[in-house]
Amino acid sequence: MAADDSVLIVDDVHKSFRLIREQAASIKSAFTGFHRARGETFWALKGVSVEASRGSMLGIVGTNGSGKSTLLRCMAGIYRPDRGEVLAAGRIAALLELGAGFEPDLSGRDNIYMNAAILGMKRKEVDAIVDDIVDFAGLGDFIDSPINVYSSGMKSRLGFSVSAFVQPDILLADEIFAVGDAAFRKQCLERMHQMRAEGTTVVLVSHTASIVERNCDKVLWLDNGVVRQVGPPADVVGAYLEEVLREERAEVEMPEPTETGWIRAVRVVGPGGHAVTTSGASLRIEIDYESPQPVDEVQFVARIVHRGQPLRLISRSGAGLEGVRLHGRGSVELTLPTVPLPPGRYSVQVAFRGDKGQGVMVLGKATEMWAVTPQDDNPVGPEAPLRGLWSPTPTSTGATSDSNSQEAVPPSSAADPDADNSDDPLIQIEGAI
Amino acid sequence: MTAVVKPVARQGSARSLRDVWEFREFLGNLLRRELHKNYKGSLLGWFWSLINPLTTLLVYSFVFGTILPGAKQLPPDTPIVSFAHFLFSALVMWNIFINVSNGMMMSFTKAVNLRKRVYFPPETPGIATTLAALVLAAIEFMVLVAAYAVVGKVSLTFLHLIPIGILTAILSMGVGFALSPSSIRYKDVSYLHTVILRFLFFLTPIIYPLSAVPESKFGLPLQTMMSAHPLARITDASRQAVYFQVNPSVGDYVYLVVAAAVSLIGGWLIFRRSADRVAEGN
Repeated sequence: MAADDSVLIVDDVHKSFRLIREQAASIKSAFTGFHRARGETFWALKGVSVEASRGSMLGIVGTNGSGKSTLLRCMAGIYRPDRGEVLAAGRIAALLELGAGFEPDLSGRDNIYMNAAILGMKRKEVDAIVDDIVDFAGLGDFIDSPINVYSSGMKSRLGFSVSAFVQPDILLADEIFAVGDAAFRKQCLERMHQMRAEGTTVVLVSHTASIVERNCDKVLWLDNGVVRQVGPPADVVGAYLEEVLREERAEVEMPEPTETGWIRAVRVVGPGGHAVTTSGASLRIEIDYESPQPVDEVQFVARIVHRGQPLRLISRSGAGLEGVRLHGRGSVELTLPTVPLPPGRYSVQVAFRGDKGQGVMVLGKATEMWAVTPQDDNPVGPEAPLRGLWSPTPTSTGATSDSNSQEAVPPSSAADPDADNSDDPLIQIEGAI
Repeated sequence: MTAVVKPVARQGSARSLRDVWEFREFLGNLLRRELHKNYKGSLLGWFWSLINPLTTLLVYSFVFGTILPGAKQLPPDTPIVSFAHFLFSALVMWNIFINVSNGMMMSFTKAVNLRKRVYFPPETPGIATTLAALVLAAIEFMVLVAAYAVVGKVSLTFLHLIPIGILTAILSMGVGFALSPSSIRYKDVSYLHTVILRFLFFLTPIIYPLSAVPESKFGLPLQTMMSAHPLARITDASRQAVYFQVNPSVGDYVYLVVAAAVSLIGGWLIFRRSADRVAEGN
C-alpha cells in the first residue's frame, strides 16, 4: 500500500487511554483499590492511516481533543499504538508543546547538546552547528542562561532552531506558531521550506488553518480520533472550517418567509471557496432574496458582528436604489476586496429594506457565520476601512424588475455618506466605514 | 528511491536493547551530566562525592572503634587492628547499592518531562546513573586502596573489587528498575525506600562481620538466613577480598551472578511493563 517514496507511514493506528477518575494520591490506595484497572477506556485514535513522502509537508487539522497531538506523539514514538503501527525512515525531530524537550535547569547551550544527542548527533557534529542554532534563535547571551529564565517565545525559538539544524529526516511540529511574533513565524516557515528542499518531511499541526492550507501538500483532518478527510489542502481545510462554523450556525435563527419578503440564503465565500478568509484577503457575501410583492427603493445592508457585538462595519448597497423595484426571487453580491479584521470568527447580518407604499421598512434579515484566519505575513491593522462592492445591481430573476439597469445603481458603494437615519436598527449603528 | 521505513515504537525486548545502543550519544550526554551537575559551581567539586562515604566511615569508626570497642565483634583472625579499614572494605559496596538504587529513582523522575516530549529508550537515564555510580565507586576504590597502602597491606585480592562492584551495580540496577515506575507515581516509594535502607544498613554485615551473627536465634538459623541475603553476600565477599585478603569462594560468585541476573531481569520486566505508561502520564 505504501508509495515508494513514503518516509512516514501511519497504518491503522489505534491509541487508547484509561480515564482515571480519581488519581490515587498515595501508595495505600494503589494497593487497596483496584480502581485503576476499572477505569474507562478512551480511544484517542481509532484507526488512523496516512502517509507522507520525502520532502513533503503534511498538515493536520482538527478541533481540540480530536487526537492531533496524540497522533504526533505516536509518530514520534513517544506513545506506542495499541493497534496498528507507525513506520518511519531516519531521524525524527519532534517539537511537541512549548519548549520541546528542554531541561529547565540546564543552559540553552547544554540543552542544544542534549537534544542533538537524543537525535544521535555526536558532540563534534553539534559543535559545528551550535552557532547556527544560536544565531537563528536570536538568543544572544541568553544561550548560557538556564532555560527556566527564558520567555515562552525564546523557548519556542530555541526549540525550532535545534530541530531545524539537526537535519532530521522527519520534523514533527505541534502548534509551534502558537507563540512568537509574525517575523519569527515567517522565519520558521522559510526555514521549513528550505529543509523540505533538502529532503526533510514535515508534519505540521496548527490551529492556524491558513498556514496549513498554504504550506502543506496534503492535509489530514482528524475528528474524534478518526480521519475525516485527507487530501489537497484547500479542500480539506475549507471543509474543516465550514464544519467548525456549522456548530455556531446551528444557533442562528433561520430566516422565515414572510409576506413582505425574506432572505432565502446568505453565503460567505472566501478565496478558497469556503466561509473563510485571511486578514487582508477578500470575501464575497452572496444574498438570495425573495420579495413576494413588488418593492421599491430597495437597499441591502450588511453588518459584521463579532462575538455578538456588532462592529462598526456596515456596507450598504448604493443610495441610488430609488426607483429599483424588486419582485420575486433574486441574488445580490457584496464583495469586500480586503477584510480588515483580525483572526477570529465573525458573522454577517444582512437585511434588505424597501418601500411597499407604506414607507421604507425592513423586509428580511439573515445571519451567516464565517471566519478570518491570520496571514503569515503583513498583518492588516484593524483600522483599515471596510470597502464593499455591491454587484450586480439587485435583480429579480422572477416576475419583474423594471428599472434595474446597471446605471440605476452604480455597482460601487462602500459607505453611504448621507446616511438616512431611518428606523432601521442596522442603519442606526452606522459607523465610520 | 525507496526509503527504508521501520517501526518507530518498540516491539519486544531485543528492540529495546538495540535502541539503548542507538541512543548511546544521549547516554553519554546524560552520563556527563550526572558526573558534572552536582558539582557545578562548587569549589571542592568532586571532593563532595567522597564526603558522604568518608563521614560515614569516620563516624562509625569513632563510635564503634573508640567509644564502644567492645561492641565490634571483629573475628578472632583479624589481620588489621583498624576498625575503619574493616568498615570501609564493606561500605564501598553498600555505597554502590545506595547510589544506584536511589539515583535511578531520582533520574527517572527527572526524565519524565523529557520523556513526554521526545522519544528515547526509557531505560537510558537509569543506565546513565548506574554508570555514574560506577565511576564514583572507582574513585572510592582508589581511596580504599590508598587507605590500605598506608598500613602496608595491599594485595592482589583487591582486584576482586572490580567484579564484585559490577555485580553489585547490576543487582542494584534491578532494584532501581523495579522501584522507579512506582516512585514516579507515588512519592511514598522513595520515602519508604529511605526508611527501608536504614534498616537494611544494620541488617547487612557492614559494621559487624557476618560471623558475628548468631548461628541460630529464636529457633531460626539466623546466620544462614543472613548469608542468603544478597547484600550480605556482597559485603562479605568484598570484605574477604580486601580486609581478609583472601579470594572469595566460587560459590560466592555463582550466588552473586545469579542474584544479580535475577534482580536485573526481574526489575527490568517490572519497569518495561509500566515504562510506556510513564511517558503517557497514566
